[in-house]
Amino acid sequence: MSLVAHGLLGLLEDRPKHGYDLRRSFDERFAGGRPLRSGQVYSTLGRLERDGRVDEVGGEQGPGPERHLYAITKAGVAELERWLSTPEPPEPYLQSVVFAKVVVALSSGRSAQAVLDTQRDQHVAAMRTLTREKERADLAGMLRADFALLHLDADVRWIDLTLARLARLGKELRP
Amino acid sequence: MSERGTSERTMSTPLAVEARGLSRVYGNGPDAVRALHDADLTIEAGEFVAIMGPSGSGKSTLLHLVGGLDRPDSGEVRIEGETLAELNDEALAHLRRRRIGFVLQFFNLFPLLSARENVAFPLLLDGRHDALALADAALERVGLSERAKHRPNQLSGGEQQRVAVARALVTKPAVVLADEPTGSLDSLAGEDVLRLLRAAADDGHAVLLITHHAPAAAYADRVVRLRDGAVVPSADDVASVAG
Amino acid sequence: MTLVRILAWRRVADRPLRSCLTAAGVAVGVAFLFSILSLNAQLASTVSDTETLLAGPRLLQVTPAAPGGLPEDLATKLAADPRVEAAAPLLVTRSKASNGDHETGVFVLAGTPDVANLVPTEAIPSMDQVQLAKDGGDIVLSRALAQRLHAEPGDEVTIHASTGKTPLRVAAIVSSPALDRINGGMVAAMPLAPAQEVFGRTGRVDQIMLLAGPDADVDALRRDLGNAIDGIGVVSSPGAAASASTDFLGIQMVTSMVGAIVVLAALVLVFHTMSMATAERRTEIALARSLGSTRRQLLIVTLIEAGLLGSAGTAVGLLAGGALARVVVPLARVAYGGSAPVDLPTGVSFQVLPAVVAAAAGIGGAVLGAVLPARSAARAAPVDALRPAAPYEWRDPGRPTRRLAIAAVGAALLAAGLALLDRPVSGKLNDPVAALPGVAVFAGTLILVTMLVPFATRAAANLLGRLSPTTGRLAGDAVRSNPRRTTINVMALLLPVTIMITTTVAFDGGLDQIGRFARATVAAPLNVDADSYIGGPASPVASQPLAHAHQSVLEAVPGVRAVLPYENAHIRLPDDTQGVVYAVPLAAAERAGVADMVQVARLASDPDEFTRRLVAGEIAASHFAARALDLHIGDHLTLPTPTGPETFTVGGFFDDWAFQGTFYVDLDTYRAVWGDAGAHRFAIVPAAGTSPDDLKGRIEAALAAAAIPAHVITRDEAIADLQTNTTILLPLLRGMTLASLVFAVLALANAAFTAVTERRWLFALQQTLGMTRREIARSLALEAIVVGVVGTIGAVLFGIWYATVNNRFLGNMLAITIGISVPWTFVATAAVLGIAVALGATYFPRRTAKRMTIIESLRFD
Repeated sequence: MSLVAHGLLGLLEDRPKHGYDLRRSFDERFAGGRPLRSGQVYSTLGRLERDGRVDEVGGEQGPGPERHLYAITKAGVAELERWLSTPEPPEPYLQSVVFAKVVVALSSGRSAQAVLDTQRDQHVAAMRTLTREKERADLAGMLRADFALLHLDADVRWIDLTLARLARLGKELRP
Repeated sequence: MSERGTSERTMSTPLAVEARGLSRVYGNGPDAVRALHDADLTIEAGEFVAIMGPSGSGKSTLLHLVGGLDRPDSGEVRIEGETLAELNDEALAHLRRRRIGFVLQFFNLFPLLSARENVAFPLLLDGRHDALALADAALERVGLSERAKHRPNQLSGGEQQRVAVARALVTKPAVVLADEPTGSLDSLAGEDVLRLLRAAADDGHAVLLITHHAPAAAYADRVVRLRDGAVVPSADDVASVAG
Repeated sequence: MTLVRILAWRRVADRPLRSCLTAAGVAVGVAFLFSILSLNAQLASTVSDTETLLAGPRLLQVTPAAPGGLPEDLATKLAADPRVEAAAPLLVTRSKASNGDHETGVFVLAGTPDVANLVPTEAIPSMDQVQLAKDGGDIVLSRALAQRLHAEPGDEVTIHASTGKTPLRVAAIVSSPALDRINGGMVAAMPLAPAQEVFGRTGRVDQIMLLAGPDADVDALRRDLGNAIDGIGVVSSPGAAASASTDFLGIQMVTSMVGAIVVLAALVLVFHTMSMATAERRTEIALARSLGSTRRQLLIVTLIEAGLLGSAGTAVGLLAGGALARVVVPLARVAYGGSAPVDLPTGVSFQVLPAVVAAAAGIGGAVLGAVLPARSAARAAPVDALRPAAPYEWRDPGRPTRRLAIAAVGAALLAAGLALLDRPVSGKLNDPVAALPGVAVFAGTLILVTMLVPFATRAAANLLGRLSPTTGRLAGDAVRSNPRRTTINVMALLLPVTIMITTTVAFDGGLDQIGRFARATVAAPLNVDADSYIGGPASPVASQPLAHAHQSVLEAVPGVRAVLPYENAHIRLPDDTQGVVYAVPLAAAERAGVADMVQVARLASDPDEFTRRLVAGEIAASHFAARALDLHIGDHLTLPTPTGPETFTVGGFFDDWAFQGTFYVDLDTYRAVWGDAGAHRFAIVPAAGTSPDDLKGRIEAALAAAAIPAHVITRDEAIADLQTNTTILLPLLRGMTLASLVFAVLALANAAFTAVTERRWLFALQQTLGMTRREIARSLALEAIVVGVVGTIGAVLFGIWYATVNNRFLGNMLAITIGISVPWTFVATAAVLGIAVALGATYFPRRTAKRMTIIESLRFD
């Protein structure tokens, strides 16, 4: 099951919600500036209904699910609890694109340092933006910003470490 | 960032910090260590600049030179247009107490003095009678009014650093120099200190922060990176987020 | 500046232990200095009182050139000189007085009413200090004497004189501060004529006091009169003699030396504690500098801090010093009361100048000791101090060239001092230039020892590390990590122990030499000394010499094989100084077949030649006299005698412990030339098989029966008497040097406490890694032992070396050889004491280290 499905289940646990509200809340809480396509929400809701994890409990009958009212089922709550209690498998290749670039640069004799320096500036600039936003945000926004900042920080540290490793390697190769 | 600075700054207002071609070598002979090499740094009033770089990249040396704690082997430092090289030891001490605020990682406060006395210290050096009143006001701004009479060993690490920030700001200095002020604090306490520094910059003080922690540097308007005693040129230097 | 005051106060209050240690150091220093200065000031005021009493520098004194006194009418003759304003003949003698069972020695002064012309009116007791008998009497007693004898005006007291026991009626009892100073207050006065009768001295007097006219050149008058009565009397200036007295200067020299050492030790202590405080505050100082304190502001904080501690210490020190002076002054009186020409003070009154000087030294020393380290800390770049390193590891980066320069200065001082040590000297103790080589050698050695200490401690640390790879290694590292501090620790111990060893070794060497003189000059097992004879170089002449007739009384005592008379006389030497002629019965002893009972020849380099030439009528000069008068064997020396100038052939030289020219002649020569048949001592040679104890009893009985004013002393007693003058000062000196160990205790305790506080974190880490508390305490103890052992070994070497130098210097002054004598048991005791001090002083710090909780210490920053 996807992150979207579990997110929606979480939003429904509190009280039943219309499809439209669900989409808006989801974007607010989880998306972090990358809004979901509406189709993704409703197809996921459809799958959840099929699997018996949500029920349609009324609302205006119509062609689209926007105006339908959805509620979580017992099976839905059970699935949510299972998801929450199961750790995610660690992802070893988080910044796989940057990593791929460094590997390509090194193997082709180009400057990996330049790649990393540029990427680092980009990261720090993004962190500055996030920090500015965080200072104006409510609690949820703050938590989201912290989460993003610390993940970016992890990338920056990986970049710094890699730069240091390359520098040491360079010193060892140069007499 | 700097472009905005040069365009908006009127010619009569000198830069808060202007350092040109700073070099510093420790020791001599084969053991000589080149701590800093031909480094430039300018900070306007109201600008918050972070300096990043690995250990030994010359961050602290740069801060010491800008703060007048050490003298460069070549190059010059100006604080609000005043050239530090032209000042004797005593005049330099007077400049530090009036126009520079320091926040350090360790040994920030006098263990024998209370929080308000620590904050009042630079004013007391000048024999100012309103020193303690100003100190109380500064402590209030950092939210520590009720801790004014406590000695440093009765304060938490975060509180100690906030007292240090209050002290750095109590003289309304041209520039606040902060050397890893959050280095020995937990994230939340560190955030308090960084917010205070950010607020200081927004109030019109120039702020120079030394850190190797990217989330801390993210509070700055601009990040200068040092590597092996030299400034790393940044293509992305102009990515302004102001506003 | 409020800030400066706040910081200074907080510093004092924040570390009460260190503040107390520093203040205590100042207090002990001030206490010693104050008591010493009080003693010296009291002595000086006594001298000036004596001068005032004796009408000051215009007063001249005529002393007889031979025992038996001066003709009374000489006073009238001398008064004929127009430059003489007044002249008064005096009979001055020591005797015994009794009243029933109460008996005491007494100093009898007898004069004509002319005396009043010589004495300023303020020296004469006023009427309310006088208690008169209703119907007159014969003798006036001082209040102290009257109390001792339980005598009232009108009572009869008995005076023991050569003519027998004479009862005299007490006419009056007087008291005055001036009288209290003479002979411990035991003074009696009589009119001249009856006194002459009582003491069998008709027509003779012991002294003539002269008062020069206000415009007269006193020195010229002294010389002229001296020439006029050459051989009869010696004219001297008692005021000048009092202030230049060798005994007086001797006390002042010894006490000033001890005072200087005490101040030096106190300074080292304050410097020591303050440099540690400064090292500890290194980051604080750097922070203050970063925040814009000027160096001057930082120095002012230290200055106020030192001023506070110095003032507190000074206040306590002045109180303690006042109490100490009350002990020291009477002790000095006991030491010198017998032989000093000035009468020493009996008590001590508060003196302003010593208090001011001691207080200035206390506060000034504290400030100096604090400012020196603070200056170097303020000069250090703030950047260096802001790095997070343990303050204990911090030290000044010393420049090797500077260290070499200091070592060169030390070596130069040492070499110059040694080169000048043997140069000819004036032989006067009050010659400040004479002391310079000794000071140079001390300073040079001190510098070199200080430079050598780091090498010694490093070697000791290496040895420790090899002996014990755990605790020993740790202790060694601690000792090595801060050589400057270790050096100061070692010196704080080394200095007082050195002084202890130097004084004892030098004194013992001197005592050996004095013992040699005593054994040579007193050879007979029993000796009959005139009661009026005091002895020693300051008063070698008996005012009431024993008569020739007394000799037959003693010869008649059963068991006496021979009686050998000894006599001394004052003499004016060709260089216008005063000297002494010793008459020794060499020929008489040969005639009596008891030549071995006269052993003064042992003081000469060739005893047989000495004896032969003296018996032949020649004269022997002390090396001191020979140097002063440039005498060689075979030279002719003309000396004034009562029978006119007499030319002697110099027949030999001998050693003597006197700061004046002394000579030996044979008794036969003396009696022929001086015409004096008296004696201050009869040496008694017992017949074979006679028990000296029995003989002593029989002689005492004979003396009593014939009312001879003399007493019997054994050879051992006579030798002990001669040594007493020197030895009595030794406990005083030892006490003072022992007390300077207090500084070592304070300094080492402070150092150890600071080290423990600074290394808390390190100790906690060591414990975390599995060291036991006991091992940590042991490594601290080993550290203290390194300091103790290096300090003590250094002190033994330095102490013995400097005692050698000191005795060579003193010997050169006296023109004799004074060796050293190392009392090894004492040296061993001092060494053990030194190590015990090092261990004892660090006991509480070690206990503190043992009791620290690991978690607390790890949290400590």
